[in-house]
Amino acid sequence: MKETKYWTFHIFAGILLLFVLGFHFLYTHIGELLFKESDNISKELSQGRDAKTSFLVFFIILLGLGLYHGLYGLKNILFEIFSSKAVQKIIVIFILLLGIGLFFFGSYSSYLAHKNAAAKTEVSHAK
Amino acid sequence: MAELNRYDNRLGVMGWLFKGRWGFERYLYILHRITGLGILFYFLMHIVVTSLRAFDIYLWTEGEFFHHPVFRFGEFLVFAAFAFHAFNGLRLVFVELGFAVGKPIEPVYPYKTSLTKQRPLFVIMMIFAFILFVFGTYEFIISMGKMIGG
Repeated sequence: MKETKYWTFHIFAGILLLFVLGFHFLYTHIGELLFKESDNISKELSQGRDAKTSFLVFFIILLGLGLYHGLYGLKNILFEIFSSKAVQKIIVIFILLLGIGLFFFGSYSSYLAHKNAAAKTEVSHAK
Repeated sequence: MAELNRYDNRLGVMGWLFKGRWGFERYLYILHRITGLGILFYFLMHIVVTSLRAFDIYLWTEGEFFHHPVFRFGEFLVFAAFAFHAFNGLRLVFVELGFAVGKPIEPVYPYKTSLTKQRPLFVIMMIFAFILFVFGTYEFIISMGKMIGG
């Protein structure tokens, strides 16, 4: 039953990722077609996005969904290859640590980047 | 008493490649896994690289490595993998939820499989994936042109 829930969330995360990651690609990486500007990843534009709270929330959602969907998929593949219960336990622990660690590292970094960029924006507005 | 030969029915990674008369969908499944692993590998690297911006390090604008044509081509491959993985994944979700596989029928000879029923769904999804792929290719060609032309 638990596994069914995890699997359902894997599917659900995949569908959401189609839109969230699709938006990320269109907004950040396929700028030439939509904005006639392929340099949407310049330092200034990146800091401009970081300064907005909406983008901070967006990055954390993308991070969480991507990590869950990707690492759960990896777990399934590894379970198929390694059938030993002991090895499977190690795989689960490794993937959980990797996922949780990267989620907190990525979220905290995004938060710091948001704080720094917002402070810079305030300074430039004050000038 | 004869000893039973037990097989765990696990073919390992080699089993992904070939085992008997597989249908077309089986190869899509293999490609889905390969593209998924590729995207995951890139995603984990992307998290580390983009997280460095918290320390005012913007490797993707400063680093020589990320502007190398080989790396840009690698990114293009990741996008192509995303286009396929996303729409093939959507097809798998539809099939998993019972859409586009037809209604259950009595198994009367000559047997009909649901595989032929879901082929149109595959074609539609791959058309969407191809359209997205064309967008990415256009972007890649433009960015490479700018890189080579200075």
